[in-house]
Amino acid sequence: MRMRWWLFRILTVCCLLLPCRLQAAGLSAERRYTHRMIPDNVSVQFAGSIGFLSLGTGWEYGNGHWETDVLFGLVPKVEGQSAMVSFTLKQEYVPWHISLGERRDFVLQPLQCGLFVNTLLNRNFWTIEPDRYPTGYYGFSTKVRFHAYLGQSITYNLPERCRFGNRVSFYYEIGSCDLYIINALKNRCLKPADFLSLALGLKWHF
Amino acid sequence: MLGLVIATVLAGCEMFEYHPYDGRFDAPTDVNVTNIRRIEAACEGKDTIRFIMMGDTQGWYDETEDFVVHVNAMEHPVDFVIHGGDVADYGLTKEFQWVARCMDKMKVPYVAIIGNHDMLGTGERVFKEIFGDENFSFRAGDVKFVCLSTNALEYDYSHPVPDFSFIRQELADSLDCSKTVAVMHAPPFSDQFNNNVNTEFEYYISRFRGIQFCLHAHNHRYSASELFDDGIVYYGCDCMKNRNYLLFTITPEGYAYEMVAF
Repeated sequence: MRMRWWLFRILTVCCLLLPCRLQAAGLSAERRYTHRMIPDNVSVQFAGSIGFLSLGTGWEYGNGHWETDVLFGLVPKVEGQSAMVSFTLKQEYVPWHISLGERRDFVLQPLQCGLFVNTLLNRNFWTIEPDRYPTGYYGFSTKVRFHAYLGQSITYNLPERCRFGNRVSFYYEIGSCDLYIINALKNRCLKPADFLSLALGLKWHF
Repeated sequence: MLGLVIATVLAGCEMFEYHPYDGRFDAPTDVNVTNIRRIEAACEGKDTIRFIMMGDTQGWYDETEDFVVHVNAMEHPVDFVIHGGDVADYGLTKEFQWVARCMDKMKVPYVAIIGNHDMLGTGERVFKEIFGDENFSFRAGDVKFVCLSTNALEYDYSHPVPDFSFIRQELADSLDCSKTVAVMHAPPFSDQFNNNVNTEFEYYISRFRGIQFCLHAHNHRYSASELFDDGIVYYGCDCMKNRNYLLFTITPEGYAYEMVAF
């Protein structure tokens, strides 16, 4: 029930913000600051260690080279373990945008890289160890994971007549988290497929 | 680029992870139940039992692989191996998968006891799916092995650890074996143990028929000490990082053990 409420809230926020964004072009300078608060895209992602499916929204800046995203992910239940919701804060850098084709409909981002922090919204996990443990007993958090990733994306510029949004992009990312990286550094027997995680996503820019 | 993407997708199906604690794994399940059947069948009627006590594979997967290679190459194979717990380091689903897949390559059967690190995050459920119950017992020849969860600190009093009703059940049921060995992850007096019940624990353990000794892991070093003044020695095995284990031989006359490096 709680999860559905989160999804509902995200969708509502996105729907409410969309018209504001579309009108932003004709604004006075004073009001541009307010509109910078409005996200530039919404995304849906499959896998990538933050959930089975994640919904997010992001802000693009610095001539399209930088992006900050927030995502809510659903970690499905398995027998004996209930479903969980995770929250992700993500910072991305995109060094290049390469236009493709004569009509320049497509834009390739040959590299995108970034860092994100993910937290499980679940009381069974802890950020700092509960009081019952001696100080520094485990020395890590079960709740908060830090990830690094590399990826690529391809963007399709929507035709002018399309009133809903400017671009749609497909991306994939390959990354790993702090605890996997520690394990990978300690053990040569672990292969990349053991500690790397793959994500696929669609992003709608408006 | 599309080709590259498709190739990546196909090669990376295993890499689609929902969360490090998502509890989805590709590894054998019910390992203890399956292997106990093998141990009991293979040891039936034997009066001499040889087994390995090892533990704490947490984060030392290269060493664990070398251990498996070493055990498979033994000239005189042991009857079975006991993993004393702390299979995983952070309780991550994949850590269990790595160790279970690795130890599955062992020719001799093994059982695993739950360690405190195995209970972090969603680890406890994954441990139970792959290995089995936190408390269990099996017989090898004339020796009964009583395996107990002793990670009391993890539960904050919400769960009975050690589980005395299980221990009493096992006491009532131990008559068909003339010898007993008690196995646990964390020994009495350790940071994990419920040290308020040390005496009661000793009371029950000492009443097991023909109790030989107790085994534990957890401390990441070899130790052999009589923790209570009752003649029962607690043997602690080293962690995998230090590349050694304890090899026990129980004969009709008594028992012997040695520390073996690999």
